[in-house]
Amino acid sequence: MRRLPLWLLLGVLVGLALGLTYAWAVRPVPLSGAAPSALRKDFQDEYLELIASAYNATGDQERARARLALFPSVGSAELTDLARQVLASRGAVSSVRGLATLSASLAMPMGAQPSALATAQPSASPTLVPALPLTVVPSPTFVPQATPSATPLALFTLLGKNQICDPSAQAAFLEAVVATADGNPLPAIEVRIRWDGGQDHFFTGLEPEKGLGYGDFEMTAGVTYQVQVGASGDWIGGLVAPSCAKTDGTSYPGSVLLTLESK
Amino acid sequence: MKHALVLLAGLILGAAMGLVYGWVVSPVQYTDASPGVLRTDFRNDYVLMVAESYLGDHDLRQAASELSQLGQPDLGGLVRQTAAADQAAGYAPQDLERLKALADDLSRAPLQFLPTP
Repeated sequence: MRRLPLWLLLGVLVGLALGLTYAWAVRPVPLSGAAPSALRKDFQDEYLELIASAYNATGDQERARARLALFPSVGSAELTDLARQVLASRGAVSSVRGLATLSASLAMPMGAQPSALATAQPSASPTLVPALPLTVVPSPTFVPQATPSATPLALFTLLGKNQICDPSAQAAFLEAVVATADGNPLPAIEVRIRWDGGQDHFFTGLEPEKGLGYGDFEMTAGVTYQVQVGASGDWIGGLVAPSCAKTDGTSYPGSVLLTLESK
Repeated sequence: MKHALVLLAGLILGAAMGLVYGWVVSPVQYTDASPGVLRTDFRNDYVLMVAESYLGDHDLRQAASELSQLGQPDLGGLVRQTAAADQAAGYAPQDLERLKALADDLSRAPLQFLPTP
């Protein structure tokens, strides 16, 4: 008689183990009603691309922000990282543009829109400006221009073409800063590059810490590059990493900075 | 005999407790779900996003590929169902128009053009 509680306890423990095994492993609650944040990582990335792409098409920032709120850990920096990943892996231009634009919009106050989307709904101007704490020296070595003033392109006007000598720079870069005529930086602008035997592209706005209209590409010393800003702009040629000199007389390749303005 | 009955009662009680705990109190948490198991409102918004995106790029193949992630073979029907649900939920007319435009284009597209879910 005194052993009855032991038998009961044994039964409960075995039954509990069997019940849990059945409920968790054999026949778990069917998955339904999942939130976007419960999706597999690659599906989450696709979902984010879709949010960005929809925003790029509609310019509805409020809706895009509401959708992004479903991913509490995703902010402007994460979208920029995703844009870089997409650019590196698939080169899907529309996705990268959408992500860069959405990332830029998150970096602005609520209601303000990146200039690329602001044409339909004029809005507050972003306050970020490209920050290049570098010594900019007018270059005598570039392709001669008729005047140092604006060069007409299909979509953008070339305002400046300067060399940058920065001894602390890790590499030589071809940099572009793109803005509207009234000075608003333009993110998500595709910049195509070609050189003898190769081509590549980058987008503005993927390094928001340097400005929403900023983008760059690492140059190789001695190679001459051509650049096209926007989908159908003219090619800007003769871009070579300038030779800069350190204080001890040694030389190193400098960078090139293109400043462009939309028409 | 009495011991067997007590053991059986314990088993039943324990199993019931295990099932309640495993199904209700602490069910399996899924972390690698696919879009096909999204909650209905998220699923409807997913379809609307595809329609909005399609508005921008007019890439029907891309739109079909994205919709096929939801696991329903009739993509046009899926978009029409979403439009009906969104209409009932009071969505703006322009959202419904975007869904209708996508549904119409999907219905007109040749079957071989669309991806297999």
